[in-house]
Amino acid sequence: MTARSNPLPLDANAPMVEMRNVNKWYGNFQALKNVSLSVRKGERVVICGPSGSGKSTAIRCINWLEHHQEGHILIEGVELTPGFKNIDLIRREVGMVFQQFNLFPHLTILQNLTLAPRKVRGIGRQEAEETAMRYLKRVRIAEQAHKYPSQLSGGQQQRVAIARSLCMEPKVMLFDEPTSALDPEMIKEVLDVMIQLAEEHMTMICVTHEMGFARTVADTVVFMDHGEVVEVAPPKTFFSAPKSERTRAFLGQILGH
Amino acid sequence: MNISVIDILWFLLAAARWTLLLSAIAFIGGGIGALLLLFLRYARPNIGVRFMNIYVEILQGTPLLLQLFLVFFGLPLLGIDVSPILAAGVALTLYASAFLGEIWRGCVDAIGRGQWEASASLGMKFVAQMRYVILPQALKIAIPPTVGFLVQLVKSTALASIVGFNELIKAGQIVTNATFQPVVVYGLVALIYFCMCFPLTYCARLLERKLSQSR
Repeated sequence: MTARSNPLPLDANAPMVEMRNVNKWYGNFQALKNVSLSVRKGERVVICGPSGSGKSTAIRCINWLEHHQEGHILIEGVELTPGFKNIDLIRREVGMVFQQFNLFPHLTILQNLTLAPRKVRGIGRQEAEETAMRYLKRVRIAEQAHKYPSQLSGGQQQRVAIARSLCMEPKVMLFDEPTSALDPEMIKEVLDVMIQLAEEHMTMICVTHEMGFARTVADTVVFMDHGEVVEVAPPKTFFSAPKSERTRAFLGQILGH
Repeated sequence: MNISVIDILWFLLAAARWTLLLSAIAFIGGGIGALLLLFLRYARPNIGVRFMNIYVEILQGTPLLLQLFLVFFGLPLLGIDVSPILAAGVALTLYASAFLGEIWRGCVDAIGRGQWEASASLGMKFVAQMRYVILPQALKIAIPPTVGFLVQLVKSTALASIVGFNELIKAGQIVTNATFQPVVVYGLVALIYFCMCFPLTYCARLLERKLSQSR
């Protein structure tokens, strides 16, 4: 990994991501209720819960795609506050993978990967392309480098999206239901890439319904319901001995058949 | 007096250059104005949206002829000496800014929120997002309606004749007064307008077809 500096006073000893009593409303609807969550460096966190439980909102608050109204969110000790001027500096460190991939359709795969490193980090074209090819190889898709996103399958596009985030060499990766828009036969190829990332000790926060992934990869599973964090536990405890009635009901529904 | 059709045509063609020049001024000025409106609107949504709405509504809600009068008679009150071409250039630029701004706004809005979010989460700032991600995609959809508007603009320059700008219509009036052949003269004027506009509409149609195939 190349050395790089960030002008923000990031604190290497602070938790990677910390949410303290975060509240958020859409009009009268409270999407997040007193959400607190601390993610260590290298920790793999899976957030699950029924739809509308606020899990996507929570993860989107971490890179300021949504703004919380109360509470504190800190990235490596730097707090995201209203009117935050250097949000782009935080976002460089926080990679995000979306449910709908959101590749840039007018650019080739290679250009998708090199755009931000070149224009944001100011890396030269050649170096950016070398890095891009390295990550494309890692997600096993290097041979598609010169195609356009629309020529790729959903699973391939999502792997490209992961590689695109990795090219910025982020310190933490956020996954917002990365496999939900995929056909079943393509889910595994994306999960494999994510598992590989986890094995390389990337800090990951992943909103997903893939309970198998949560069981095998996560250090911590967070269950959210109605905007609240209901339960936080290691996967073993979470799946075998959930404390909350709501968690049991959810697991019953999702694993029951 | 013996003025041949060829003489008339030459006279009109000379004036048509001014029509083209005025169209070009209005289109380039309007394009720049529209781009400024667009950046303002998306960079500062709180102020930009309201400002753009008011601007667009005023200019779309009043006749171009009136705007032309206001500039032509209004600017001298501010101590600015206006020649007909300046008045027509300013009025048409303001007018084109509003319409192009509105057309392009629709094109930018057509680019999904996901593109903004993806580029933002890669650390790109607003100007970089616009330049590398949003506008290149919006441009593709914007070409047919923009060319369509350009045709409107060319025809709208006819109004500049009223403030005494010597463009195609004005030249037609002058020649008619000299030859007493309004049908021949205005027939030729119409033909020249058509020759300027048809290639544009043809291009627009071609681009539209090409675009719908590539989707």
